Formats: sequence, structure tokens, C-alpha cells
Amino acid sequence: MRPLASRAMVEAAWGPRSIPALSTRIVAERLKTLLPPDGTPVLNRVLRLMLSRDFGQTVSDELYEQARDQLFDAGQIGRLRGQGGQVFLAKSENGRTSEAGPSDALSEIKLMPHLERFLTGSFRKELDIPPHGECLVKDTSRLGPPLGRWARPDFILITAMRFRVMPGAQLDVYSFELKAEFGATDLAVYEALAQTRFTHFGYLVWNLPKASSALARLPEITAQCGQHGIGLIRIHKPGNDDGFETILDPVRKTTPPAAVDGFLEQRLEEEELNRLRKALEATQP
Amino acid sequence: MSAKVIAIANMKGGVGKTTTVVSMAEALAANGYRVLVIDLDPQANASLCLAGDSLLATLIARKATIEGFLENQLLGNKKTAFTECIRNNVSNVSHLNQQLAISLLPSSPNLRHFEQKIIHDLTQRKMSWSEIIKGLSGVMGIQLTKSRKAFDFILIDCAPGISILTEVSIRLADLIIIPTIADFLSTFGLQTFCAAMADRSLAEGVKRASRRPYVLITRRRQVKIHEQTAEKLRNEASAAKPAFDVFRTEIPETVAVANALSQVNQFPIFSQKWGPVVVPLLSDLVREIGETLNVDRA
Repeated sequence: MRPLASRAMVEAAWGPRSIPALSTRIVAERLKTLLPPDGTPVLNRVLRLMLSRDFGQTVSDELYEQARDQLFDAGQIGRLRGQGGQVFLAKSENGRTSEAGPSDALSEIKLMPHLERFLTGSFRKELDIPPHGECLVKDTSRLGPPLGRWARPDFILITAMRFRVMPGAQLDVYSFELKAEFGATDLAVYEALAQTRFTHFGYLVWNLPKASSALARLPEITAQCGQHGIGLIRIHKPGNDDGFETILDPVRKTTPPAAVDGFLEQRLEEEELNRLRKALEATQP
Repeated sequence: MSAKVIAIANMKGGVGKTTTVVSMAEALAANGYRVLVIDLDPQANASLCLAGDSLLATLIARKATIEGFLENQLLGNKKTAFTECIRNNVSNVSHLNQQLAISLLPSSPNLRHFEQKIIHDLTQRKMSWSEIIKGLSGVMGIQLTKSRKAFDFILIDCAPGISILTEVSIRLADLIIIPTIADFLSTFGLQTFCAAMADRSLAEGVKRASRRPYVLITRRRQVKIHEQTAEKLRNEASAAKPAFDVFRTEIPETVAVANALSQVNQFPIFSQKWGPVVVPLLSDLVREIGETLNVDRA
């Protein structure tokens, strides 16, 4: 295939005055403005094409990659694998560029202690665990394989108990994917769904204050969660448990016991595993 | 290579002119050719399909359109060059991970009023119809000659009927393609159109493209009337003194074609956009055009 019209060819025909020179900095600045502020990822192929259309001239692979890498190194964009790679506006960056206004746009890191409090408090209470049962809540956001994609739920909650009448025991593992105000996209739902390959119940937890401009996405995200059997918890006000609303309950997945077992073995301490084993022992009442 | 100018025209509307322009531009670009599309239809559908609504709105606001160029050339003081109104890299379609090399000189709905204004103003200056055509042909011809070096193909999307700009582009084209549906009404319009072009040329002694126009059968369906009419068209093309030739390739009426034109705000891959049925046909059409114009393969 013949190489596409290069800048040099166009300049030769028309003179250089109508073609402004592109630098890495100019391309990087424009790249940021073209990315969706809600953090939705864009394919590298599409983004380079958008840049070429925007500038009215071809942005070379080399220039694009330099600009992209510069933003990535500065932590302003994130990258995903697949389909030739994707990039998205980093959360801190999208918080800055969004039109969130004065709403309480908390980062995931700031929301983590609130979610932990809710899970160990009201959420656990709702599960009605019997006295002989066990319930563990663990922050797993930094645990797991370094290169594994969507294998690190922000929190997991494990319940273990013997049946009261019938022989046998029940172990349920819940995973929670926490998203800040502008972080909940289709991809976030798939992330929560992907985590159920190791757990039985997947939840998406979304901090969505009342006056948020991201509120328009709630019906779509709810529908997506419903289609995939993912639970949805909306955080109205993270400061107290009444500010957490369960919009959708998840559907229990038939995750293979071996996958759950391996996941727990990698994420839990020996002491935690022993607590679970004890709750599942046949000697329990 | 110096660009070959192809005018896509038909007296009748709704026969697939814009679809032909957009699909041909993208097929040529996917084959490695550099393509410029000049939209002379005030409906600006080709401009919209190629540039998308947002970019087109920007270009219209900047007067980077065909009427913006003509207004400056014919009625204004500043002599704008074609190149100042041509927008490069407009395509939202990629092929083999590269954006299709399509440039656009767009149209806008104002073109219809502007065309009337040109005629009014120039006739006020005592210019005859043939003088207006000759003057416009001169202006367009000079600019096309300059642009020929930067492109391999220049496609001109003409408005339905025979407007002043359609006449000019037909005179400047190396090849005229007449998209036609193989039914009675479309064929009727086709005969009238070819006859009108021939009459004008003879009467005014203006040099036209030496090749006969080529008919491209579009929106072809597997129904009896289409079969019979397509056969009649091919018989006409094989007559002793035919009014036109007919491409062997026929573009079927498919959902993929209809969907393709609505993807103005997406970023599809060429093969996905036109689908597995139409892509090979577009490839055949590109090959036929190359053979007709003696163009080396890219």
C-alpha cells in the first residue's frame, strides 16, 4: 500500500504556511482535551485519528506515542491493553477537567475508609450472620498479581458458616469495586463483573452525590449492572451508613470452588484463613 | 501522478450519488490513493458523511467551503486559493491502522443561494450563460490544476440536475460517473441527462472529457425489473454509437451501505464500515476505474 499523504508531500504542493508544525507538547495538550472527562478509555487508533482530524494533518505514530508516553509518565493519563491499546484520562485529571462544580468529588483513596466502615457495619448486619459464623472484610486493592488486570477488588467480604440443620457449610465471597464520582463507566461494570471469576457476588460501589453532573449516567450503569448480575451500591454521603443505598442486589455466580480457594489463599493471611476454616469445621454447632 | 478528476452526476436525485462518492473516496484511499472530494451539492451530504457534523459546522463557520472560495474568487477582492478551503485528514475511517487520506472541499446549504447570486450578479454585468460557464470553468480549472499534484483522485459530487457548477465540473472531469438505479424512472432520467450533456457540448463547442460517461448501477436488487433494466443498459453500452459505458461492478442495496452512511460520528475501520459483501465490490470498482483512466495501481 502506498504511504498516505505525508506532511512533506502536502507542503511541497501547497507551501508550508498552511500547515503548522506539530510538537510533542502541542499534541499532548490536544490529546488531553480529546479524551472524555469521565475517564472512558479511547482506542489508540481512534485517538490518533481524532488528533489528525483536529489538526488537519497526519499525526505520525512516533509523535503520537511520544505525546502519549509523556502524559502517561506525568500520571495524567492511564493505559489499558487490548485492541491495540487504549488510553483514558487519569482520575485526578478527570476530576480537574470535569464540570463537577462544588460537589463533594472525593477520590477513591478518600472513600476507602468510609466503604470499609459501611461493610463492617451496616452491610455485615444486613447479612444476618449467625453467632457461630464468621465474617471478614479485607482491603485487597493493593493485593494480588502486579500485572493482573481486574483481579484486585477494592474490598472483599467473606462469610463462612455451617448450616444449622442440614449437614454442610456455606462460604460466600463478595467483591467490591469502588468508583469515584466520575469513574463509573461501562468499563467499571465489566471490572466488577470480571472480579466474580474469583468471587460469588460482585458489587460496584459508586460515590454519586445528589447534585452530580454524572447523575445522567445512573440509569445506564444500573441497567448494565442488572444485565450482568452485578450489585450496585450508591454512596450519597460517605460520612454515615445511611448515605449508602443498595440500588441492585447481585446474582450469585457459580464460580468454581477451586478459583475461590486459590483467590482466598493468595489474598488472606494465615490467621484469617484459620478463622474461616474454624467456622466451616464440622464440629461447629 | 497527476490527479484524475471524476465527476459523479445524474439528473435524477436519490440514485446514490453521495453514497458513490463517499464509498469510492474511501475505497480509493484504502487502496493507498490520496483523494480530494469536492462537494458541489448544497445538501452537503457528502461533506457531512466525510467530515461529521461538528467539523463541518466549523468549516462552514470559517467559510472554508466551495461557496466561500467562489465568493472570494468571483465577487470579492481577495483571491482565495482552493488550498485555503481544503481541509486535509477529514476521514473518521481507518484502514491498516492508518487514517484514510481523504481531503475535503465542503459544501453548505448556502451554496444554492450563492449559485443564484453568481448568476444574478454576472448577468447584471452583461455576461451570457456561456461566458459564465467559461469564466467559472477557467477559475475552477486553474485551481484543479494546482491541486492535481497533491492528490491521485479528485472526486466531485454534483447536485441533482444540471446546475451551473455541475456543467463546469463535467467539462473539467476526466471521467463522468453516473450512478443509476436499474429501474424505469432512473433510466429515463439517464437518457435525458446524457443527451443534455451532448447537446450543450456541441452547441457551445466546449471541450469535454473524451471518454463517454460511465454508468454505475447502484442499489441493485435481485428483482426482475432490475435484471431487465440492467440488461438494457448493458445492451446500450455495446451498441454502435453508445451514449455511455457501464461498469461491470454493481453496488447492491444492502443494510451495510445504509448503515455506513450513518456512521458520521464514529471511528470505524474501512472493512467493518462497508461489510464483507460491499468491500470486494468497491475493490473491483477501484480496479475498473484504474483501468478506465489508465492509472497505475497504488
